[in-house]
Amino acid sequence: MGRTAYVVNRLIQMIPTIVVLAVLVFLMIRAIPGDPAVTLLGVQATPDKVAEMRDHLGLNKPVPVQFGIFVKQLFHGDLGTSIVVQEPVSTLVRQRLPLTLGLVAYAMVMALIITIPLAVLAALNQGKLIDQLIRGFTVLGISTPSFWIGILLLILLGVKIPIFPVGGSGHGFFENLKYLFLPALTMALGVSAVLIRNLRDSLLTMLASEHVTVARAKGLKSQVVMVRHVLRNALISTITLLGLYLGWLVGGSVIIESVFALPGMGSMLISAILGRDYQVVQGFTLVYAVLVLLIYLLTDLAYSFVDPRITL
Amino acid sequence: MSQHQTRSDHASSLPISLSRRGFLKRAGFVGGLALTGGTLSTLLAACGGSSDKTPTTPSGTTAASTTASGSGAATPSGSTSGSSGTPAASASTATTGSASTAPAGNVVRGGTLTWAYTSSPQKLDPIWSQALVDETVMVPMIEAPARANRDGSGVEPAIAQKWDVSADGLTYTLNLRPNVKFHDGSTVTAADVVASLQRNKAMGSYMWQLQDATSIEAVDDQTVKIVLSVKIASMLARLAVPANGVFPASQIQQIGKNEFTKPIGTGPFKLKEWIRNDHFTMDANPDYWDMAPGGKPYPYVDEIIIKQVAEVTTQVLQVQAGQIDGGSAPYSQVKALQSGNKGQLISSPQQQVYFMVVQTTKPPFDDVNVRQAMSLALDRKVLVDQATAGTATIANSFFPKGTLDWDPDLKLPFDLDKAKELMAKSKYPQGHKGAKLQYPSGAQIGHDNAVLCQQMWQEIGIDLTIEEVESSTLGDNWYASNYESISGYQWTNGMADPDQLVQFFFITPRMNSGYQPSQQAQDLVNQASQELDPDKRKQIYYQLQQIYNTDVGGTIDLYYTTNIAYIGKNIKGYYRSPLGFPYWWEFWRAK
Repeated sequence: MGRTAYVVNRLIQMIPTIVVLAVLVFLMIRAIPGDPAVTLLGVQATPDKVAEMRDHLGLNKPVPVQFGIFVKQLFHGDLGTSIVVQEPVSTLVRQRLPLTLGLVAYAMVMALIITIPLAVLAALNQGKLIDQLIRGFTVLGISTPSFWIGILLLILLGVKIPIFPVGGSGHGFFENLKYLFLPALTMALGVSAVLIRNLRDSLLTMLASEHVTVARAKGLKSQVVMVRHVLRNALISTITLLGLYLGWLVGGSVIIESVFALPGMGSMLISAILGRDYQVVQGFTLVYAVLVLLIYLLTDLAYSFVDPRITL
Repeated sequence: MSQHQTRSDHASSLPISLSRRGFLKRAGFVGGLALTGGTLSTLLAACGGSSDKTPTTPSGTTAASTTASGSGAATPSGSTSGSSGTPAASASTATTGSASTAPAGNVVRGGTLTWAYTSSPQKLDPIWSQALVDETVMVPMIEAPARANRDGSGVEPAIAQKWDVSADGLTYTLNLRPNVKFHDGSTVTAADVVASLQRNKAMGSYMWQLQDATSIEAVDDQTVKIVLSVKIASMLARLAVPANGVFPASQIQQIGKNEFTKPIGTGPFKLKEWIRNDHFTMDANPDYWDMAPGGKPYPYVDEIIIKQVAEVTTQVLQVQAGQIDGGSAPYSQVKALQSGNKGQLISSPQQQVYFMVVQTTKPPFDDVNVRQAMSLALDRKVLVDQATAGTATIANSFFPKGTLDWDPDLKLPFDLDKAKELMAKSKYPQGHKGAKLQYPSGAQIGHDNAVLCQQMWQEIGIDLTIEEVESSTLGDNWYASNYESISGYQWTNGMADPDQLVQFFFITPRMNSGYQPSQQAQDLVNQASQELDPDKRKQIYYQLQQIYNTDVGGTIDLYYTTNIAYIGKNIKGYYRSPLGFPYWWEFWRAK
């Protein structure tokens, strides 16, 4: 199967997945206790007011009718309108998705920039002090909560040595490179800690393999051996891990968004769940699901580029 | 119930802003949900025959579960920041005090102020809005015929420059201020006021306010007459709440039954931009009618930006870095920030009381002796010191301190011996074990109060089981009266009159749904509601506070909170009403 056919096939397979998800999310958010009208009214909730508010929010329609409206809107590419903030969900997604995606992409690039040199350095110096230092760094990175690293970075590089802004987002690509540096670094440190360990082990395995010995015996330069024969093969498992982490980070960026006051998808989803803003929860969860599916598709495609032996 | 404070004309609120601990737990849920979406996607994709090489999602590892170990920092109640501070408040002083107007000569006009809140405005239509944070932007944009005075204990003229009340107390004649301009440049007329009041009477969450108005009509362009079917002592206070805010009649007609999302008001600021759950920008209204000292109109600054910064710790850092001009601060940092020099920590009064809700129909709270004993067994000083870093004051009534006709002489004493005596003669002389004490997830103060009270009540044999419950779920249970006791709920006044407060606790008890007050108490409430003599009315309210303390009618009052704000060193003229909204129009930035 060619790559195009493969991609088309996978995209078609995503449709039933998304439909089933849409149904599940629709039912799940309504199955949990918590009436949006009561939630909105707080202690003001008297039966009269709740009835008035439910009517105003369009919640008095039977659930099957609400589901019918939801499906119909979905087929028209309409994710509905937030019952709390009275804004189309698609507008909310449009406002917030770029930042979340940008942050995750920035973090992944940064993670690779940290991972590859450190993993190579550790593998080439196996057992030496430098290797032990790098491995120590990875243990710290894995075991330290990301929000804590985030706050430390804010205090250090935002307040004590004011190089970067203390959270928030800027306007335009270049300003955001600065604004998102610390949150991206926070995420990258956590991810790279895992990736370094993985890549280091793969590199060590590769360095000991026969084809690398042959390459060396042929007289190839050590850099060429490292890039063409060692790193390229070792990266397969790292790409798998990277793909997994990308999916994980899209959902997991919510804590970083909160610490760094970033108006991404996560903070909106939290408000929506707490306020039982059904349409926003449905819409955002679907967007998350589609993103994760696309990331996994891209990960699979990446294998074939790195390792020509893998056919799709 | 919700993560934000609810507002209303007689306002009240359930839980509060999230602590970090609470946030992380919730974030975990969201992260989990998002990841569940991912996991489900993968599983379903796998079922759909995806490639063998499709990686599987990591199971059981979520961002939250790996990072939720952070300790909680108590967040001062309320998602709002702001407080009263004198314009001359020096850096790093904790100012508790009355407002003072900025000296006209020194004020620097112009510029932009950026403020952080843990949550952002949700609705801009005052008849549908509930969140206190909404009020922080609605009050400076939308004005009603009257407005609350500075200390929140009465009203003063706003769009109406004066009013007459007929001798029988049934007719209110409002004389409108001439040449008040809407933000679209049109002039306010009596027809606009009538249309706005009629709208609030016809729909929304505050219809009760004008339900006894038999007619609301324009006498001429400058005069509105309201005729009531019964005397309402709180009528002017009702005309001072955002729900009676005045909009152009044409906009009301145009909007129909929908909500205002781009309201046109007459206030010192007008809406510029509203990006939901991100930021909210207001521009100065150059045509504002209210004059600042010196003869120029308010406001002093050109623009206010309200940003959502969910983490209070981040708000503090942003103030210190000069990135924002103000926000809130967690209780855990109060002492450190007081002695620091990077900003001003300001603690100011607000009309808010924290309590324990106890269901008076369920054991052991169904015996008044037990409820009285539980109140006597509380060392409220310890609660204040440990749950609020000493910033609150001990409660003596269900009336928040500062409320009109709050009785300063009442006492809720700590007397363990008397508490034990009362337990001995109660239905539960051996004590009681196992009743649930629930608090909303993420509400640090709810957790702290629960733990401290649980320990104190064990001294008299009441052993409660603490449970953390997701806030909306707990709200539903509370609404259905399906609870035994709840920690972390509070009442915040939003109206400069106690009428609705007593209605809410005595006549249609919702917060304290099991309470069955005596007929005498109910008669007193109705009497006070129609009593136009302030002195007589005060005596009735004093009596009701005493009755409630004796009955312990479904809430055990703990303490009155203050609002904690952390603002930039050069911010002046800062004042926050005890009813919860900042006086943005008086803020300015010193050079």
